[in-house]
Amino acid sequence: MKNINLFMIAIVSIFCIGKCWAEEVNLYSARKEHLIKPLIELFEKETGIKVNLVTAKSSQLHQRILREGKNSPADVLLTTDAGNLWKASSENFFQSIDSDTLNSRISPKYRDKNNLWFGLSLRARIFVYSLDRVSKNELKGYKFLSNPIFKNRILIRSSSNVYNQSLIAHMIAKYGEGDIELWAKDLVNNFARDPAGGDRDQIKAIAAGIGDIAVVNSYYIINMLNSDNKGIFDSLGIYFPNDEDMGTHFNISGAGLLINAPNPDNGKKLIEFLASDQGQEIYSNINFEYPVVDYIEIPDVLKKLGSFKEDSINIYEYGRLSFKAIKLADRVGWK
Amino acid sequence: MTIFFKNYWAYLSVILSLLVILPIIIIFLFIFHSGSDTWTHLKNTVLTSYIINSLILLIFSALGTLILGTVSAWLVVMYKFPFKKYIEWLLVLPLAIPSYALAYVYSDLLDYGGYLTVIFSFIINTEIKSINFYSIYGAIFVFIFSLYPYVYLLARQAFIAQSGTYLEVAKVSGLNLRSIFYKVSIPLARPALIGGVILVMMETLADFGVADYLGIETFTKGIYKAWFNLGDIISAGKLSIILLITISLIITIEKTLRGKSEYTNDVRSFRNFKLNKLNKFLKIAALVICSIPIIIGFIIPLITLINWSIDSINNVNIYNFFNLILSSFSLALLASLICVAFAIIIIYGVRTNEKIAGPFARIASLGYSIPGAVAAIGVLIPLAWLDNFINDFSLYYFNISIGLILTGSWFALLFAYLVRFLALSMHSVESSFIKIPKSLDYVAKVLGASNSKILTKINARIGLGGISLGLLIVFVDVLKELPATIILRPFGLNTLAIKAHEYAIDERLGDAAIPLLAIIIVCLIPLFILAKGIRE
Repeated sequence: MKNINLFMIAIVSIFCIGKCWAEEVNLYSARKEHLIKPLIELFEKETGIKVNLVTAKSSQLHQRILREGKNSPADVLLTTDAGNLWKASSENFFQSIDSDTLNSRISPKYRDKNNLWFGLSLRARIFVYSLDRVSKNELKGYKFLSNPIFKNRILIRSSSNVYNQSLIAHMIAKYGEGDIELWAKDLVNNFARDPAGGDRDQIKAIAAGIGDIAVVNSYYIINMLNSDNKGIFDSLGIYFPNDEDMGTHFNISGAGLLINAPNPDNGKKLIEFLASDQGQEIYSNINFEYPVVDYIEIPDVLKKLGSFKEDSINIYEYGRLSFKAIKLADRVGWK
Repeated sequence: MTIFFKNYWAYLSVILSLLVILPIIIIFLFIFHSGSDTWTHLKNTVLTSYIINSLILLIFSALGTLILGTVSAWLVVMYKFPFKKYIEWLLVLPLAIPSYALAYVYSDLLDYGGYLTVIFSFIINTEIKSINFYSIYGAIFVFIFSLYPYVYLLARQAFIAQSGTYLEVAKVSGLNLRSIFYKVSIPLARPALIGGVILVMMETLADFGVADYLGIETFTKGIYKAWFNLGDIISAGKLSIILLITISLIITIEKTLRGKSEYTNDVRSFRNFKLNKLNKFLKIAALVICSIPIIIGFIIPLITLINWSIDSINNVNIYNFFNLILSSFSLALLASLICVAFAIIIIYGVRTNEKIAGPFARIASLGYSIPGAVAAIGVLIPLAWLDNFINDFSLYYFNISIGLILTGSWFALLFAYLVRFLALSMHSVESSFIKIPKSLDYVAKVLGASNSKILTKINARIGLGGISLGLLIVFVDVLKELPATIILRPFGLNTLAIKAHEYAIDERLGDAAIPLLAIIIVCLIPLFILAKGIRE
């Protein structure tokens, strides 16, 4: 009998060890570990709060939180793309954060209107083009990519990628679904090849002469400029798309506090830390994104890329229209 | 009650099978939900092309691996040629390289400025800038060269186990070696060959990593799209059911074609047959044929990965990296032990009473064709329910919240591996148990041995080859597994495969190379043990 008691105590204490840990916060992150680790280490050092991390794709974390229900251990969900943040908040994942720090530092444009989530960095979806085969004044906004002059010259990755889904959603919001369906059909006709690979592969494909214009996220360019591949940019130009109706498509990565967070105070502290001067600098520097806090210095390499005329859209639209965007892409045969 | 005891092993086998079937049933329940918008949308737009692509992949990967695996196994078992001793175990090594890694490597080598592009340009003496690997041909290439070892391993074992007597009888009857190959060895090895090919087909159907990276629209990608992009788990479930039905059809057709013929080896003489000598030209030909899969499936990717890792080696934190290896290793080891233990009991149960245990065992082995993410959800739904129930219960009665003890720990993950990889261990255990004449069991029984004794003293001993093969294959597969691990892993658990994947999707192949190399090295440990077995 005594043995059984001992055994029970042992079992209970195993489960308690995790619980009895002084201060901790549980982070579900769609941002990959190597992009978030330096920030976590700094946060742990400054606050003494231990961060438990799980990383996965945004949609996978979403399903996990859904299944775990009210006993989910997650405090903070950190994810990329406004569409994903919108989906999480439409499932009532988040609780509102009442924080003067966050409200004053992050423009209402980059956060939920009920403060359910906050944007933490910005990226733009822009063009890379061949200097030899494209002249800069041929380039206009995204809409113009469907023009027949670009037949067999456009490189863009699969529509199953959230970057493209948000771009299509953005355009539906701007021009209407009917227009964009026709646009997407023509765009697919202009593809230099069936969509394959990631954003960098599109840039490499220009260098290989497969196509002339690639649509890619801004930070990929910098990542490539910092690698062995920088040589190929000698013959490549960078362009921020923009026309009368629509400015450059940008997106955010951001975070929200979960409604059943076991450590809500620590979760709030973590999000505030990510929006602090120090947090913002590191956050945008690791992955070469634009900070959401205005006055934070932009890394030099990013300055060189040029600045963009941000479109005026409200970024919830990306999420609201994402299903429409995916289905539209399927209908026009954008793989 | 006495009936139950008489068939104790069979019932135990049924219970274990049911445990594994549970998540499959959960997925099946989705069929009763009415069709959603998403379902209609998928049906009207992309479903047909997903099916066609998957079928093309399936057929060519199956044919390719069957030919490559069988021919290489036949050559190494039947003939003497230079370096045969090494070739025999080198042929297994592509198993250590994840198929997604093969896709990374070859798409890069054939891309702009890639080494192979340069070499090909030189050979044909015209400049090619890049060769498009992002196609269905690329995917077939990847699957053939990364999956053929499944067929090779099972075929080789089958050829070796074929009693020399059969071959000698065939020779005396005037058959030459080629006729023996077609008329005796292949038909006799059929369960093993088909077993290997079915594994290849299941793996091809369940694949996400390769298709995703190369941009092929396959059925499994459709499942991911329905579920993760369109948030429709019901359509995802329905698609998975189609996948499961396809695989069960293939298996059933095979069983029907096999008919009532028994494949146990009733001739007792296991004496070795003489190896056949080849003339000089054929010797070289055999060497070349067997080297091709090794070079393409192992040596080129290995060298490329080493080359990539040189630049990024300085970024590695040794301590973290060691932890990463340790957790991946222990996870894979634990999972393979569990899978093989289940497989032995289930297969032995089937052996003692095919009627009771057989159907359940076959359903249980379907799990391998379920994409990892779907298996994860099948596991997550019942466990999360149970977890929340346990937690609420303890909160209510003891006022202690114990958290999610099943889904928050290794338990859920190991369970998902079991659902996914049981088929692998079952196939290897079965293909070695099937070679043990049932008369041995009967004799032991007449002499008064219990079923458990027969299992431990006879079947498990004679079938040790198959058992260790099962351990090995599951170990290697768990080490490379991605989707289920990502979805189900608890806090703090990180694996080499996840690490490599995170770098790769971030398009940092240089950094991805180091964890990939570590996977290969960790896989090589058990493969070398197997290789030692092969040489002895």
